[in-house]
This record gives sequence, C-alpha cells and structure tokens, in this order.
Amino acid sequence: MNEYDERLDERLGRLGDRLRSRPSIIAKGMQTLEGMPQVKPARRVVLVPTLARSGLGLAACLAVGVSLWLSLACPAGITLAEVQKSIDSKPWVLIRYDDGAQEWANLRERLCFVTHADERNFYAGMRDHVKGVWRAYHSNWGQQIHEEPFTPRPYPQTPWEYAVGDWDDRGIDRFWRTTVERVSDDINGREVVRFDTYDVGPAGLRVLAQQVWADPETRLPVRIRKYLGPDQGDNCKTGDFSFPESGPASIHDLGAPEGLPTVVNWGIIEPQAKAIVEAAKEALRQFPRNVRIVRKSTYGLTISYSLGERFRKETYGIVSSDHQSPLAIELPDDVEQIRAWASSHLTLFRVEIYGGQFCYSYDTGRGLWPTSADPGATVDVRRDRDAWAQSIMPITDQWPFIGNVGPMRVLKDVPDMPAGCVLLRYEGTRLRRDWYVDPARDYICVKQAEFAPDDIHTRQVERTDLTRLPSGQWYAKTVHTPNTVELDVHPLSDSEIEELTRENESSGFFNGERLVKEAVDRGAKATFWAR
Amino acid sequence: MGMQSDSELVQIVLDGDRQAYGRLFERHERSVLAAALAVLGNYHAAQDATQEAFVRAYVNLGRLRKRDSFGAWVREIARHEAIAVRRRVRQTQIAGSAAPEEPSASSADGTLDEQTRLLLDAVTRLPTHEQEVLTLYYFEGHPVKTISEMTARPVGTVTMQLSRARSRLQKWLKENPT
Repeated sequence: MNEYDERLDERLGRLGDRLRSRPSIIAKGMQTLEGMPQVKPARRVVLVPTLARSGLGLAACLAVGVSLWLSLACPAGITLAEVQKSIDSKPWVLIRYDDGAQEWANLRERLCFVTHADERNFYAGMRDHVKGVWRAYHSNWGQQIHEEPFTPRPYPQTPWEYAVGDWDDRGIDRFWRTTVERVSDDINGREVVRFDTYDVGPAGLRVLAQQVWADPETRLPVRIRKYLGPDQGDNCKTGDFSFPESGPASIHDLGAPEGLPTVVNWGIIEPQAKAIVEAAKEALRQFPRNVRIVRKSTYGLTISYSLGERFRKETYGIVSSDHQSPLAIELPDDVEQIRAWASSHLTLFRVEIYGGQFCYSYDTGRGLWPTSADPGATVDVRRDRDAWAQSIMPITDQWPFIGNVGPMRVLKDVPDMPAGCVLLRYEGTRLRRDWYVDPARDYICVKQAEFAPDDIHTRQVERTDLTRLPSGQWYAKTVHTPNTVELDVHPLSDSEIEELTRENESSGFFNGERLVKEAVDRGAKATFWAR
Repeated sequence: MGMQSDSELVQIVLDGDRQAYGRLFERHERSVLAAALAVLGNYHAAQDATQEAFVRAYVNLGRLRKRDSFGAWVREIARHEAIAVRRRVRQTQIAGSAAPEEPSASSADGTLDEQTRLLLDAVTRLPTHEQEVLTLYYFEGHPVKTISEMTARPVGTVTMQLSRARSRLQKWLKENPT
C-alpha cells in the first residue's frame, strides 16, 4: 500500500470509527416496527408458466390468451404509445425528480428548461430547439451566463421526446432493441398502469431502462423512473409529471441570477490562449494512431494496441500475499519480452476492445485472490465515443484539458517557469488550473497544477523525459505526481510504438463480439450498457 | 455455520421473523447513516433519516426483487429521505422561520467538517457494488471474510472491489474539486 493509499485508508478508518462511536438507533427503529403489520412478499402472478406446467394444457393457455386479449381491449389496456401521445395537446410538461431536478418543456415553442442543485452547486439551463441556442448558468462556472449555438439533431421530434428528454441517448444509432411490459400498479392507492421498458442486448440479456406510470382513464403519464446505468452507480431517478398552463420564460425564472454578463462560446478566451488550445488539439490529432503503448504503474502493467479508431488494451496486475497491497514490479527492458513475461509473472485482470462504436470490456475477476472458487468475471458492452482517447491515456493527458468554458489567458513571465514554456491559466470561481506548455515540443504540458480552496483538491503533475517518436511527435515518458506514486508512468522506449498488422486483425485481436462470446463461455456475467 | 446473507435474512423477515430485520438493521446501520450524512452533514439529522429509511424499507420489503441488494437499496432510500429533509429545511428557512433548522447548525458536536463531508460524498458516488463493500469494511468494521459471506461474493471479488473503490476514491478526490 503506497503512502497515498495509507492516508486514504486512515481517513476512511477514522470516519468509520466516528460513525461507530455514535449511539445506535436500532432499538428505537425496531420499536417503531413493533406497531406495524408483518411485512409480506408482494404478490406476483406468473400465470402462464404455472398453467403450462399444471397439465391443463392448451385449453388453459388459450383461455389465458383470450383473457389477455380482453384486458388489452378494456380501458386499462392502454399502450405506452398512447400515453406518450396523450401529452401532445398540453402547452407545458413539468417533471419534478426526487433529486430536486426539474425539467420543463414548452411543447408549442420547443423550449426545454432544466434545473438542478446540490449542496454546493446550482444549475439552470435552457435549450431553444427552434433557434438552436443553449443558455445556462452554473454556480461553479463564474458569475456569468453561458450561451452556445447548437445544431439541432434528428431528435427530439415528438412532444414526448421534448418532455422526457432522453432522445439524445436513445434516439440515434440504436444498438439494442427494446421491449415493453405492461403491469397494473398503484401510486398512493390510485390505480395506474406501469410500463417497464427493457433494453435487450445482442445476446438476449435484458436491462430495465425506464418505467412509466400512467392514468388508465386520461392516459396521461403520472410518473417516470429512469435507470442511469453503472457510470452513475446504477442509480435511478424518479419524476412526477404535471401539466401547468405556463412555465418559465428564461433561466432567470428558475433561479439564475439576473444582470450577469453573457459569455458566448469561446469569446472569453484570449486569442493567444485559444491559439495554444487549438495547437494542442492539432498535436493530439497528429499523434500516431497505429501504436502499441506499454505503461507500467505501481499496480501492474497495461499494454495498449491502437489501430486507427480501434484499440485493444490489456491490463495485468499482481498483488502481495497479504491480499491487500500491490507489489512493485520489475519488467524486462526489452519491450518484445514484456507480453510473454507478463503472462507468466502477472495475472490478466482486464481486456478492453473498442471496435469503432462500442467498447467491450472483459474483467477476468481473478488474480487478486487465487483461491477464489468463483472468479466473478464480468463482461460488458457500452457505447463510448471517447474510447480511443481513453485507451491511450496518459498520452492524451499530456495536453491541456480544456473542459471548462471560462476565463483563460496566457502568462509568460512567472516564477518557476520551465525553460521555453508559456503558462496557460484557467480561473474559475472555485478552481484555478495552470498548464505550462512547451510550444517547441508539440505543446506538451510539462507541468500542471490545480488549486482549489481546500487542500485535498490541490494537485500537481510533472512530465519529464520528453522523447520524440520516429514520426516526429513528442511524448513524455515519465509522469510524476508529487505526493503519490500512483500516476507514475514509465513507457520503456521508442520501440514500444509499432505498426500493427492485418494478421492481428484477422485473429480477432480487435473483435469485441468474440471477446464477449469467449468471456461468456468462460462463465462471465454479461451486461450490455450500450447507451 | 456461515453467516446468513442479506438475501436469506430478507426471506426470513418475509417469512414472519421480524427480529431478523434487526440483524439487517445492525449490519447496514452505519453505511446507511453514512449515506444520509453525506447529504445532510449532521449526525442527528442523518440518524433521523436513517431510521426513517429502515422503516420505509421494512414496509416495502416485499417489493424488493434483488434481495442481495438490500444494503444498496436502503442506502438509496436514506439518500432520498435525506434530500427531502434538506429541502424541507431550506423551505422552512425561505419561509422566514425565526429559528433556522439547518441540520448542520443544530449541534456543534453533530456537524461534519468539510473534508469528511467531501470524503463521504465521494463514497456515495462509487458504483453500488464497490460502495457496498467499502462501507461494510470501513464503516461497519467487518473483515473481508465476513463481507464475503454477507454479500455472497467470493473473498477475492470483495478484495478486488475494495481495491478498486480505493483507487476510484483517490482519483475522484484528487481530480474533482466540485
């Protein structure tokens, strides 16, 4: 366990001690339950399989079929399409979510508003789908309103898509098909119909994606629950519908402060800073796409193979015998020997393949505990537009990350400036980022620092051993983060970069579907998150 | 005899043994408290939200389909309950209440410092399965072997998830100041 691990371990341990030092509320809670009726399993009727097994045979199944047909014909037999259509005549749709977020849709003027807040931040945004304008305020983006044009997309098209707002993920390039199941339910004693929408992956696996509750009489939606996927902790959020006659005219009606200056897209960035950002982006674009990158860290080794837009990344690791802390590893110097060495000295933890549209990830689930009877392997498939960039981290990371829209400028005469560099500085209300870039060496960020009001978020990164590839591009061999060894990277030599051959391709080297099949054959649990 | 898994305990409760719910309560109390605490920042308010969450979970226990996810489920209920508490408090303040009821102001002893709150916040952002093992390990104080039995996951999986949770926390705490 490295120093940073130990510090985190200590902090978590201290927090645990504090939590356990509080008086327990179990006795009080159990006392509350005493006066409540005994809880029972929810009734679930699985009629057809039961009948089929019971020997009543075809006649019974036919009877069930007729019953189902009759139920579809009655008022409660509404369809999800009818529910979605029911809002067409409404001027406004408001969905209030349980996390405090609100989504407003002006269906006549194609205006959508979103607002959400947590204990630290507040956001209010508006999209005008007619004019193609986005305006937003975020409490952490500085005291200004941001405005950006956007190109209207094929979706949303229907009032439902405007109101529910999930068109961005679900409307384009559908990978999975969906199935909808309808069940009776109740909300606070009120009879409703619930539609469960499942995404079905290529191997037939089903993932619950969305639930909509509707009033069987009016057919209007009452409630929606969206499942957010593993990236957001497998959480869901639930919202209740209402249909007001009017709504916000601007983001200020939702709480964005009045009188703030409006920043239009890149307007706030100094031209010099913008030129550096563009040059850095160009350097990234010029970086070779057909490469092999070997990365060694404290935890193990990754070998990334990139061929155009596709990649394969293998992650190997090793742990010590106390099953807690990773060991430092010593690799052979010759890059050609590394893979063979890794397969005999290390354990394969993970294989990721990006085929150009989807990212396939096989987690072997073994290695950290060699005696484990169940490897707990998993394989998943997800859409990932940035997969290539992620795959060659930290190569992409060596250029300034321009994720924030905000005030950015260039400084030249500052203390401790590395030779030949210029300083690119972003300043937000709670954060300052400094990038010391070297224009002579592809604008690589040789030193980077982030400053936040609390010490915990102050971070520095230094990149050294800058090396030039045969094709002319520069990269940093070593990345050092003061106070932690976690991010140390030691690519071994220039010879790590090589052209990959068609032979690699034909052997299934970049074949994600094959990876999934082989993983499932080995007992891995498969999940499809292609959204 | 091994420890009963959450799934087994839920079934026992549904079969009529109310006291088995006490074991689930005991098992997850601190991690649920931590989830509420991350939102509210105050022990007293978080304990109220925790108790409310366990009562709600009991009432709705029959509807829980993934019974081995009891811990994650009740933590989510607690988080929602805590958000609702916070919203009610804010509304009270906006309405001009003479005595502010901001949870973090109710007692100096019960208030979290900002760093601890950030750490808790980071914990609640972990994927569910990692959050589960991390809170059981650090907050409930269970050894890995016990967590393995409680969650019906192999010891190696628990260890790996713990390791990944720690890595994710490190990364998040370093890179996400907002």
